[in-house]
Amino acid sequence: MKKILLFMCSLMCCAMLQAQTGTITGVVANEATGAGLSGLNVTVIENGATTVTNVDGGYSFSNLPYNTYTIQISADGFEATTLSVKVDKATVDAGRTTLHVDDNKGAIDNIPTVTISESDLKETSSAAISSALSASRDVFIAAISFNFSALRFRFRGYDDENFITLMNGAPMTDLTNGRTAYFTWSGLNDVMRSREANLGLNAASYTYGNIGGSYFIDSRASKQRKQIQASYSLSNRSYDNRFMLTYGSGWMKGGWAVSGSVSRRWANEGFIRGTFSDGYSYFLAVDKKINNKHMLSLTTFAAPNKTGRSAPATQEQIDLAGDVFYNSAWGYQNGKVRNINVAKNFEPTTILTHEWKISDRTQLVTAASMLMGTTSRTAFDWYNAPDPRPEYYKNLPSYYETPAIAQELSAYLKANPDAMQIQWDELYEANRLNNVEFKNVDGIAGNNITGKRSLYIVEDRKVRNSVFNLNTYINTLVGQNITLNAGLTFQKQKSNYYKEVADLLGGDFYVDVNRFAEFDAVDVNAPSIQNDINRPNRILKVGDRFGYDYDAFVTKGTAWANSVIKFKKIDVFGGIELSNSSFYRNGKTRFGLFPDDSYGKAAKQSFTNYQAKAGVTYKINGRNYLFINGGLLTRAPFFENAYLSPRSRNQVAPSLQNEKVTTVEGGYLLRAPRLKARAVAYMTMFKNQVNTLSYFSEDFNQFVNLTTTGIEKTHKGLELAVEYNLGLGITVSAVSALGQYIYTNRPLLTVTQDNTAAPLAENQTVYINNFHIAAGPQSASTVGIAYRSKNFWFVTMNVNYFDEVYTDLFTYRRTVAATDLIVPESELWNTVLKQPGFEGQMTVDFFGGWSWRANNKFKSLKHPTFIVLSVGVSNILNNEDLITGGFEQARYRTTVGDFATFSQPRTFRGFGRTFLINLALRMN
Amino acid sequence: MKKHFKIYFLMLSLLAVITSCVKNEIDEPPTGGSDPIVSGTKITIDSLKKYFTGSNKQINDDVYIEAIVNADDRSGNIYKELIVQDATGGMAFQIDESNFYTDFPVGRKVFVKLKGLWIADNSGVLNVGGYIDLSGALGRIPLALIPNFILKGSYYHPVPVDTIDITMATDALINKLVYFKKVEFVDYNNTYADAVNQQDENRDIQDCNGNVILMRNSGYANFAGEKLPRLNGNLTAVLQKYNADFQLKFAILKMWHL
Repeated sequence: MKKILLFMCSLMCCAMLQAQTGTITGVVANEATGAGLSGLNVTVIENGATTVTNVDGGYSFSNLPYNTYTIQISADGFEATTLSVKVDKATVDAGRTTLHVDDNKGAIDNIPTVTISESDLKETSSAAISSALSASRDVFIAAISFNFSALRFRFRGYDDENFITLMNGAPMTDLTNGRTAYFTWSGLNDVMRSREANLGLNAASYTYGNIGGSYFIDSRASKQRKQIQASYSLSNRSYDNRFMLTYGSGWMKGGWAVSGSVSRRWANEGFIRGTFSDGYSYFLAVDKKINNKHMLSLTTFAAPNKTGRSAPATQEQIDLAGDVFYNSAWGYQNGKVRNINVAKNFEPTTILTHEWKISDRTQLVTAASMLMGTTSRTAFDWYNAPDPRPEYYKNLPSYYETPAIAQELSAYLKANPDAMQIQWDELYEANRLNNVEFKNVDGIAGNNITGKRSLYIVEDRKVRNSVFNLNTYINTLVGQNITLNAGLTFQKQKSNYYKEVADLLGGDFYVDVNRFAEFDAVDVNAPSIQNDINRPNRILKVGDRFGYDYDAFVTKGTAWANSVIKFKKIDVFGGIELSNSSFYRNGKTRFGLFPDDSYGKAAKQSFTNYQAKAGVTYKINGRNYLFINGGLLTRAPFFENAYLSPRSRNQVAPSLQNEKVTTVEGGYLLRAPRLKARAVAYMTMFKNQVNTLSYFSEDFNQFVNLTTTGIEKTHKGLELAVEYNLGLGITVSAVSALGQYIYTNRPLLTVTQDNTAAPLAENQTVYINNFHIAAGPQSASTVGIAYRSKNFWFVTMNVNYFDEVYTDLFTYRRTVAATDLIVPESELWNTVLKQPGFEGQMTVDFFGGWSWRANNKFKSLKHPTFIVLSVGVSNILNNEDLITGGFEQARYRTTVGDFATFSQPRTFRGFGRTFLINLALRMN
Repeated sequence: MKKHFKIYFLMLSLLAVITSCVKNEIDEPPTGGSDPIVSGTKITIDSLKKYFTGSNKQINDDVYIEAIVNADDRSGNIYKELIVQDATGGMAFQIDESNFYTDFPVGRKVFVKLKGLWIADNSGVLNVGGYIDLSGALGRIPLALIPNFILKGSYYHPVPVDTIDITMATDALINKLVYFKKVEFVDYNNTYADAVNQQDENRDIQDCNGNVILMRNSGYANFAGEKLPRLNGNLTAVLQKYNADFQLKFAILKMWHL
C-alpha cells in the first residue's frame, strides 16, 4: 500500500516537468437552425482522445502538445466532418463547425438489442456486457456486445461481479450477489444511449471500476436528444412487438429540461414454444440548471415485465422431442399452453444527481439512488405426490437398465410428444380428488378442517429489494497533465427472500410443512416437520407466505482515488480502493429442523477489502500505442454464496473468506484515420472461490448441500480487432476474442446433510485441475463488412464463429468417493470424468438501415421530421446447434444402465434464424 | 404546439390500444372423472390370469380389464403396487410411481390396456408389470408409460368386500379386499412396524378359534409407529400371498374397526 502511494506521489512530481501543451475548444451547430448540437462524438485522430459535445454543442481537448491535429466530428458512427487545427498557444479556438443534420443517426441506434432476453439474464449470471448497452463506436466492444451476445459470450469469461455499472452517478449493483440488474431498465433503449464503457483496468473518472471494466449510463434529461420519437418493432425473438414513445425537451426556459419514455413489448409466444413476454417500461427525467455551477437531476424509471421462460434440456430430451428448442416448462391446461416458469420483475428506481462545477478544472458529482421492488419466479411445489415435472429423470428412457423397456418408453414418447410436457389437467384432478381431513390446524389440538388439500401448487419465489446508495466523486485537473479522481460510496440493501402460494390448482388449501422433514420423521406430529414452529400447521391460501422467509442486510462503504498523468511519450495511471462490507441473515421463521439456528439475526459477517491498479501507456507516436496495466484485489464473499442453506438456517459455508484476484493486461493500439487495430493479451487469476449447491443426492439418498472451497481459476487470452475504412463508404472489420479459462488447482469438497447440518463427507479432493470453466464461448470471432451510402442507408454483414463452449462441472463426480469402483481408463471412467464440450459453430448476421427526411416532401412540416427503418436478421443460415452453455446434472449413480445418457448435461441454446424490423418516426 | 398535441393524442391512443393484455387469466380445466372409451376386447381379471401358463408372458392381444382400485399408497404402507379387483378376482400392477394415490385413489375405476404388458410370477403370485428386467424379474411399468396402459375412469366407487374366515383364504381371493370379523393381534405390545429404523414387520392375527394369518406392515407407513390394538375387532384388508404364506395388507389404518 505504502509503495503505491509513494509511486503515485513520485509520478505527480515528475509531471511538473512538461512540454508545452495547449487546449482546443470549438462548437458544433446545426446548419439550418444555428442551434448547438449536443451528443456528437468528437475525436482527436492523432491521440484517440474522444469527447461528446455538451448541450450547447461545445467541446474541448486539453493537454495537447504543440502540433497540428485532425479533429473528427461524428454522430453515432456516421463520419460527419474533419477539421485540421494547429495548437501553438495555450488555447486555440477551432471555431464553429456547422453540420447539415441529415439524421441518419436513428438507424444505427436501433441496433437490435434483444438477443439476450430479460429472462436469461438472471439465471446464468448473464453476459458480462449487457446488450442493453448496445453497440459502441469501438469495433471490439461493438462485436462483443452485438455479434457475440447471441451466444452469451462473456468479456474475458468474467462473472458479473467483475463489472460495475453506474447510472447518473449512482452504482446499480445488487450487493447480495455483485450483479447488475440490467432488466430494471429494459425497453428504455432510447433514453439510455448516452454512455461510456471502460473495458478492463483503465482509469475511469466516475468509479474505481472493476477488473472487467465499468459503464456509465447518463440518462439525465439534458443529455437526451430534443425530439419526439415513436417507433414500432416487429420481431420473432423474445418479443414479437414493441412500441416505444420518447420525448426530450432539450434545455427550456428557466434552465429546465425534461424527458420521458414509455415502451411496451410482448409476445404471446416467443421464439421457443411455450415462452412469452409481456413488458412495460416508463422513464421520466427532469433537470434543473440552478446556475452555471449547479445542476440538479431527477430520474425515475421502471420496467415491469413478465416472461414465461424455457428450461434447459438434455440431448436425450431433444432427440425424443425431435426439437432442438424443446422446452419442458409448459403444458396444456384445458387446451391452452401454460408455462410453469414465469418470471416477474418490477423494481422502480429513482436517482437524484447533483453536478457541481466548482471551477473550470474541478467538478463534484453527488448521486443518491433508491430502488424498491420485487423480482419473482414461479415453480411447482408438491406434497406427498409424484414429481410433476416432465424433466424428472424417471420419466426418461435412460433411467431404465433394461434395453427393451427403455426402447418402448422412447417409442411412446416419440409418438406422444405431449407426454413430455406438463400435465396440468391431471394436477388439477389429483388436487380435487384429495378431499381429506387435516388435523390440528395452527397447532391447536382438535382444530380440524376437511377440504381439498392441494397436492400440487404453483409457488412464487420472491425477492423484495430495498436498496439505497449514496455516491459522490470529484474530478479535478491539476496543472496541465494530471487528472485526479476520488470518490466515496455508501450502499445499504435489504433483500427479503420468501415464497408465496400463487395457485392452488383446483384445491382448497395447502399446509406450511416441510415434506422432506416429514419423510424422515418418526413421528408425523414432531415439530421438526414444521417450516415455522412459531406458526405450526398453518393453512395456506393464495397469496400466503410459506416455506422460508428471511432477510439479507448488507451494507458497504467504499473510498477510492485514481490519477492519470500524461507525459509527452507516456501516460501513467494508478488507482486504489478501500472498502468495508458487512452482512447478516435475519430469519423470520423458526425452521423445524433448526429451531435454534434459524430465527432472528445471525452473526454479522464483516470484511475489509482493497483493490489497487496501475498502468503505463507508451505513445510511440500519435497513432501507435503500447500499454500494460496490472491490478489486484480482494473481494468479500457475497451474501448469496455465504450461507450453506439460507432458507433454513444461519450456518455459513466452510472457509468463508475473501477471494483474491490478480490481473494483468497489455497490448498494442493503432488509431489511424482509416485503420484502427487492437491486440491485447490478458491473464487473470482468481483464488479462494467458493461454490455452494443444494440438491437431492441419490448417493446419499437425501437433500444435501455441496460446498466446493478454495477454487483457483485462470483466465487468459488474446483480443484482436482491426477495422479498415476502404473509402467509398465501405468498412471491413475483423475481431477475435480467443480465451482459455481453466481451473488451476484441486479444490476441496464438503457434503452436508441439509436436514441435520451433519457433514457426510469433508474436504474431499476434487480432481479438476486444468478443466474448463463454463463461461460461454471461450473463443469468438467475427468478420464484417459495412457499406454506408451517402443517400442515408447502410448495410452490414457479419460472419461469426464461436468455439470452446463447456458445461459447468458437477464437482462430486471428480472425487475418489465417486469413482473408486470404476475401472480406470474404462469407457465408463472416461464418460464420468470427461468434461462435455461442444463443436464450434458459425452464424451469419445482417443489419441494415435507411432514413428519410420527410420535410423534403412535406414542406409544411415545421420541425425536421424523419422516418427511419432498420432491419436485422440474425443467424441467417438458421444454425440450430448453437449451444451457449450448460451444466452437468447433480445426479450420480454409475450403476444405472446407460450412464452416458443418464448423465447428459442440460444445455442452453441460442435461437435459430430471427429477425427484427424497426420503424421510427422522429420529430426534432 | 397544437400540432404537437395532435401527435401526442394520436400516440397516446395508439398506446392505449397496444397495452391491452397479452396473457389472460388462466382458466381451470373442467372436473374429470368420466370413464374413457377403450378400444379392444374387455376381459376379466380371471381370464387375464389365464395368460400365464407356467412362464412369464407378454400379452400380445388387444385386450383390457375394467377394475376398481382397492388399495393405494396414501399411508405409505403400499409401495409401487397398484392393486385392483373386479368381480372375478384381484390383481397387483407393478408401477414405478410413488404416491400413486394422487392418480389412482381407492374407489377409482381403471381401464388397463394389457397389450405389451407382462404377466409373471412374483414370489409365488401372479403380477402384471412393464417388462422383464436383466435379472429375469418382473419390472415395474415406467412412470412415463403408466398413462399409456392404465387409463383413469370415474371415481368414488364403493369397493366390494368378501367376508371370510381366516381358514377361507384361497388363491382366488388374492389381491381382493377381504373382511374378517372378531380377530385380534397376537403380540399387541408391539407397534405395527419398526418406524425408527423404517423396517417392515410381520404381525400375527388370530381369530377366536386360534387360526392365524400374517399381516405385513411397512416401516414407511404413517401408522408404523402406532401401538397395535389390544381388543378384538373387525378388519378389512387386501389379501396377498408371499410364496406359500397368505398375508394381509392395510391401505390405511382405518381398515381396522372395533
